[in-house]
Amino acid sequence: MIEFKNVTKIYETGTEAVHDATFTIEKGEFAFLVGQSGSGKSTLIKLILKEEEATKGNIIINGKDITYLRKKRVPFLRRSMGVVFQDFRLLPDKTVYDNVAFAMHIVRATPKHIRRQVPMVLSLVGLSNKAKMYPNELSGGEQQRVALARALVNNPSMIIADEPTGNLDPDTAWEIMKLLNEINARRNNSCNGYTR
Amino acid sequence: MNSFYLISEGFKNIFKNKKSSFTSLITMICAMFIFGVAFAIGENANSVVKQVSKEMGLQVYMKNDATDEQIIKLGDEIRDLGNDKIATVEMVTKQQALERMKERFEDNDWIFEGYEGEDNIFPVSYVVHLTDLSYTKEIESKISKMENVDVIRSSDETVDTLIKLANGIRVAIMVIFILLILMAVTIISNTIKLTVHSRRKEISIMKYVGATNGFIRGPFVVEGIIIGLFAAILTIFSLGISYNIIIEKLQGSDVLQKIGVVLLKFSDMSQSIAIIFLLLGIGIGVIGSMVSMKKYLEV
Ligand SMILES: Nc1ncnc2c1ncn2[C@@H]1O[C@H](COP(=O)(O)OP(=O)(O)O)[C@@H](O)[C@H]1O
Ligand SMILES: [Mg+2]
Repeated sequence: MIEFKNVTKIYETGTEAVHDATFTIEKGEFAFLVGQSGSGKSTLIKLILKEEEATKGNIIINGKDITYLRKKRVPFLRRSMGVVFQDFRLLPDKTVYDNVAFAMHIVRATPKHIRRQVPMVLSLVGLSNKAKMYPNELSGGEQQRVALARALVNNPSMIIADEPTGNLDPDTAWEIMKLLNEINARRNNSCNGYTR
Repeated sequence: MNSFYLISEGFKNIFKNKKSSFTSLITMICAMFIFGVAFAIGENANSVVKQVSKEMGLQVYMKNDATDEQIIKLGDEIRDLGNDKIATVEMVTKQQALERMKERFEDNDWIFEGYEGEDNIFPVSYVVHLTDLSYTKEIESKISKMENVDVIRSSDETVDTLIKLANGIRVAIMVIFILLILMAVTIISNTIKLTVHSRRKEISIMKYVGATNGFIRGPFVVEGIIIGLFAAILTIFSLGISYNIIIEKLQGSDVLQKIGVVLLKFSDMSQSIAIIFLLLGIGIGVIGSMVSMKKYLEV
């Protein structure tokens, strides 16, 4: 669950990117945030990830107010969410499999757990046959699926995507949206925020 | 985090920037070598001072009216000061003192005629050898407070010079040591900065997936430690080989044989050098990587 209470973000440059935002995204909800470029969508996501601090207001994630979350706890906040970006953010020198496994290494999963979980999410996003390929050998849509697999692999309680289809042609974008919807249906206990 | 992951990532980092890893390895070896030379000189100076101080001692002269019992008691009291500081305690009887004087005056020993037996005016004394010259002042003042002690003589000037020399060398080594640490930390942290920079994308992705700073730092710390350890091991070997060659030449020289001073073998100090270098390698690796990563962990 994500809850914003009168959140305002003003950057040091003086730009007000988010103005007095109040909303709630419930468990199982599939929410979209739509707006022009520069309207503050990415800033909102950065606030959720605690990459940026809110200037005013409170942000409550899974019942916990993260406004005063200690820096040391930030990694654990992020583990409760899977994040997907417009530019994929894959590691070029790691295979598809390793890009996904990497996210499990970080949470110190056991090798056994990794060997079981990675093929499962790769098949979920339809990339089982491309596990040994490198990101630059994949199409944009496929790369975004890898990113999605990476976001899903640790079973986060929410998926957050910032313009996940922004770099894709309309057909591929549609495929990704269908996939997101499918995943949401399967994991009906998660809450998901998307911007587009 | 398993150690296999850590170590393999550490090695990967090193090979990603072969050139700078190699440069920092070589620079660290040079720095450690310089320290090693200073350390070897210092250890030898200490050992020479110790050898010389074994030769010299305190002469404790007793009052002439001291009874046999009192004489023995004083000897015991001096020994009781502890064998960590007192090496040997030898008594010089009145008779021995007279004979020594006669020896010293060789041809003119007639002047001591009439001082034999009951008329012997030379006091009983103890010659006290210390384990280390630096204890001289302390022991001297303790003995002077004991009963029946008349005067104490020590070769003050020689002792002072030797102590000053040894202390000077110790200070010089400390200074070199600190400079070396600063230098090595700078070198290592610059090398690591390069790998961190080349992997900044990976680091930012790790942060989004929820990696803790400790996890991200791990491989870079290992990178620093690996370079530090390699430098330490290579330095120990090169230092050992060059030391042995030089010592063999020096030890054979006339001067040293005349003074009767023995220089240390490398094996006498290789253990302390190894411990210092290995700790240094690890410490520098850890500190260097912490310093270089600070900026990148602020996402
Ligand atoms: N780090 C930053 N520092 C200063 N201003 C920023 C920063 N990031 C974004 N902004 C500004 O905040 C506004 C919202 O940006 P952003 O959240 O990226 O919008 P969107 O994702 O909707 O395109 C823009 O005017 C942008 O220039
Ligand atoms: Mg944006």
